[in-house]
Amino acid sequence: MIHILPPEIANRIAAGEVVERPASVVRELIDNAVDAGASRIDIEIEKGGLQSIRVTDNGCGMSPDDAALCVQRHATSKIQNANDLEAITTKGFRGEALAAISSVAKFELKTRLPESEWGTQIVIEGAKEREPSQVGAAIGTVVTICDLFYNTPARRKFLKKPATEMNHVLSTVTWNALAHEDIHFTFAHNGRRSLDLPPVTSRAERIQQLFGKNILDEMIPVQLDTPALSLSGFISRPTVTRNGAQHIFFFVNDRFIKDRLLHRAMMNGYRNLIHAGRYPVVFIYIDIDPSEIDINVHPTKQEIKFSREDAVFSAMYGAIRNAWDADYKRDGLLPEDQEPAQTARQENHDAAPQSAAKTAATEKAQNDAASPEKQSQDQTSASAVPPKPASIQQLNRERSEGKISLENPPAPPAPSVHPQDQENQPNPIPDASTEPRQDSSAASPITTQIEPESHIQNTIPPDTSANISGAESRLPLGAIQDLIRIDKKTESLFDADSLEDSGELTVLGQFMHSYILAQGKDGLYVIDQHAAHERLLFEQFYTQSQNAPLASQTLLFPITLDFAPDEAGLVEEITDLLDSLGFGIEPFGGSTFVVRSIPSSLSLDEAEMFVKDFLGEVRHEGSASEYKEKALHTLACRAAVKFGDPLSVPEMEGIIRGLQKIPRRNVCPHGRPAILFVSEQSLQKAFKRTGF
Amino acid sequence: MKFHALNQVLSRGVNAVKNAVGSPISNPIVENIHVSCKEGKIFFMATNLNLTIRCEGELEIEEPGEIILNSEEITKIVQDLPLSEVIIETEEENVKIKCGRFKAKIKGQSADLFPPFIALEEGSDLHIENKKIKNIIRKTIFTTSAEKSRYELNGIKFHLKDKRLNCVSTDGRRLAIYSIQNDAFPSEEKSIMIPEKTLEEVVRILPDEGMATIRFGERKTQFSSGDIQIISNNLTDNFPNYDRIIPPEGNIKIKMNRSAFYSSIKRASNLSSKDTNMVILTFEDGNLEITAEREETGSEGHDQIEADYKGEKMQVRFNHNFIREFLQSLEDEEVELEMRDIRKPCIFRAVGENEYKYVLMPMRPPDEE
Ligand SMILES: Nc1ncnc2c1ncn2[C@@H]1O[C@H](COP(=O)(O)OP(=O)(O)OP(=O)(O)O)[C@@H](O)[C@H]1O
Ligand SMILES: [Mg+2]
Repeated sequence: MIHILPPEIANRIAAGEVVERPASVVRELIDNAVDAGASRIDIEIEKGGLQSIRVTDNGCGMSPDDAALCVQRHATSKIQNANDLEAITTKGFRGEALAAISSVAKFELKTRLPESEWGTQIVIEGAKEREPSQVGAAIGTVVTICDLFYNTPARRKFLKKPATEMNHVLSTVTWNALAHEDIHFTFAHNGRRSLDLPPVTSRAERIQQLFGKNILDEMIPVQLDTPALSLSGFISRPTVTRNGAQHIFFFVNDRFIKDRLLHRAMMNGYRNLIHAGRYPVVFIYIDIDPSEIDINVHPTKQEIKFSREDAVFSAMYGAIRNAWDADYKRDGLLPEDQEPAQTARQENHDAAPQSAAKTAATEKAQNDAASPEKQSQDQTSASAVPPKPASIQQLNRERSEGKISLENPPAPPAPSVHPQDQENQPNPIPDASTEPRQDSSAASPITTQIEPESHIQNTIPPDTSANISGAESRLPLGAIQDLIRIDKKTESLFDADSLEDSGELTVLGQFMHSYILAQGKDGLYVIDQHAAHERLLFEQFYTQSQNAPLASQTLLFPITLDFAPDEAGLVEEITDLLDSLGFGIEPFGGSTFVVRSIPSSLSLDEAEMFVKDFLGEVRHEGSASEYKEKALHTLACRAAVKFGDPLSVPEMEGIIRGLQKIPRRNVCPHGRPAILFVSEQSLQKAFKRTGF
Repeated sequence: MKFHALNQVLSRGVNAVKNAVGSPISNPIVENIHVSCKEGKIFFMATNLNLTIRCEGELEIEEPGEIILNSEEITKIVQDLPLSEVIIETEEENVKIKCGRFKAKIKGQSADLFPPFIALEEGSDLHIENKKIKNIIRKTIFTTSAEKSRYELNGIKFHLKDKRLNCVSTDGRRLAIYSIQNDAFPSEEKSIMIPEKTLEEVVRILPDEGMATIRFGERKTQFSSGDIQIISNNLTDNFPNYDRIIPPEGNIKIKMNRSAFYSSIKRASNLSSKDTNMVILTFEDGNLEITAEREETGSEGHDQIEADYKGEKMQVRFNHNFIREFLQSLEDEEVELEMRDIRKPCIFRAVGENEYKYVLMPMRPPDEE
């Protein structure tokens, strides 16, 4: 039953422009359809929505009386009193959307309750509102608008080209489709249907429907349940990054949200792993008690206020770090004996949610793997679900798992990380190559490794045309194609993860004074000397700086450094931090500082550059510990051997031996890959020396 | 222009000036070597506009004249000439070279546009033996800084005051100073920064025997000895006040055998961190223990030598490169370390040596906050 909100409630609702562009209309209409319990929503637009927009749902519909009322301001059926505002469970709550839309466009609404024979039609054009009339209609509601802003030419001017507006609409549809995988969405532009997304049972499937089967190949599931909230989703491995934040999707209570807090927490989870200015691909869904959030912040409802920001922040950050730890542990990249120094800082101190997260993540992964869509896939694309990619990488991971579980009793949460571990643990045969795979859903190691198609699929970025051809259910090319072109450098042929069990590596030489070539038990390692050394130094600096300030060379006479006025304040803030890195720096009046000592690994030039670089990085907000890690990166980067530096064999051996001891060695602190592995088999295959 | 010359005259001249040849980017003409003949002499000259070198030689002139020749081409030709008399003849820009049975024809360019050689006329003159000035430069040049942002440290400061010449260089962590007194020096005060590159050439080109004249001008300095002239622009003198850097006499003085100390540091340095280059010197009753640790690999090394130290156990950290480079520059048998405090700069010198000092700043001790 729709009623008009009394002014005292209406006044408490964030006021402002509801309709800015066609996409806002689509957003509001989809919201209403979702609130109406629709299981199918069809969106059709013409000319980017500038000419017309129609949203059809099969939801509960409205009675003739409600239909007449719904276009009034503050007419809503979704909240009754002020208390309801405290815990909003529906998408709508203001009773504003239809009123706003019908005042800026030619508006028609047809609606029919399931139980009635006839529908009701409302037509509004400007101030003129025709009497509601009885019409024939399907169950549910259809809203059609034409000529958006026809009566406010000034606003119409601000609209962009149809193609741009169409992309905004498409994004809106995508967000909603991602949030409601159980609703059948279709989208058509200028009469051409470009999306058809039948309902599916898991979010993973919806993601694949939208972005292609391969999207999940390089992503790992995350899951965290705390008393306050539950968080789940998928995050890309650090090797898969984009240069914009456009592939970061957060949903709170099934609503797509743009939130800086969430963004920052998430990026923190990637700290040390990806390069500044790069962004991962992320789908995160948060479910939280509606009374813990306030959506009544902005008329577009894309902003949110969490009443317990810190809990949300640490949940997001913790979930991502846990996911890494699970992923890396499974990779055998975190040797157990390393625990105290290297991994302590990655552990979430809250042990309970952590193991819960891991269990849940595993369950989620299994659900995904067991979904019908998954099973219908052939071997080569079975790798679409992260926990079980049938690739060399996976094989090596499993290998190292086997190894680790043999040599060290597994840490308490380990068994739940990956059920396959349990199969492997009792296996008495340490040699991975003879390790049988009982799991029938995974390809046998040999065939996976040399299966030609699988190699091609994995190393060549998926053909974008394949993602639209014959698949109505894909987004149009332009909108998302760069999402699919993910970086697969470390896949398949190249695999850095097996350094752990590569045994002694023999240095073969240096290529172009930039790459170390080394021979391992079963293949060739190509190591980016700068990235690898940087990673190594970072870990060393980190460990060292935990105990004492880094080695510092006092200067015979202080040197002065000038900063921009806005930097100077920052420098003052971080002098203690700089001190722990070996910088003795003091204010000298104005924005000038004197430097009395510098890290002994740097020259004066490098030291000066370091401080400047570093300030650039910490300009954005962050915590002291973040500063420190950033500083250590910058320091490691400055101190590391450069691309083009000739290295002696012992120097190269030093780098390799160092690398074998640290976790995450396969990426430099900026997230670039540092090591490539070319297996003997892949060489044999390349030279056609095998029968396959 | 036409002349006959001994092959050595040519190669000596070309070699002397070749490092002053300029880069064609600044001005294409300075990529050449200027060759001119008059009054029984041949002059070779090259300049990069910061540094000019001229070298003369004796020869038999048939027809005086001048020309400029591409430096790379002429250097190569001259290097490989057979041992014989060389005849060079030019006609406009065409150059004919004959030496034994070797004949060549190359293109030169008119010398009109080449920057002329202008000797410094005014200035204060110092006369120092070649051997001495070369030694002074050798012992101070390795502590100049190569850092681009600290160009005021990219050379050696020549400071003349009260008939004393101090040659000082520093890279911020160590400082070398060579100080000589001579009543024949001018009594005025002069303070000049000479770029490292110029001084390298001085050491390379000046013969070991003979006297050098150093003339300090307003913006340029000229080194001349016999038939060689080197003129260099001075660097802007922003050199720190070195008097305040050089510590007063310390109460701790430790003598060590130079070559034992050197070898020991070298052995330890093989095991020190590549990143920090740190070695730890622990002095205790007649003994110096040198320790290095390479955290990266878990390697470590220890060595011991005799040192006439008495007193409480004392530990100082140094960048081993800084000690090695100093010890390497000496021939003396014994060296002395003089210090007051492990946080303060200390002085290394050869025992009995009063002219040359090496000031070195220890690394920050670990307990210091
Ligand atoms: N597609 C629909 N199916 C059924 N009822 C609808 C539909 N669209 C709107 N309504 C009814 O009309 C009312 C007004 O809709 P409107 O979108 O203007 O406001 P709201 O959804 O309540 O709040 P909001 O201002 O957030 O949009 C709703 O409360 C709902 O009862
Ligand atoms: Mg609504």
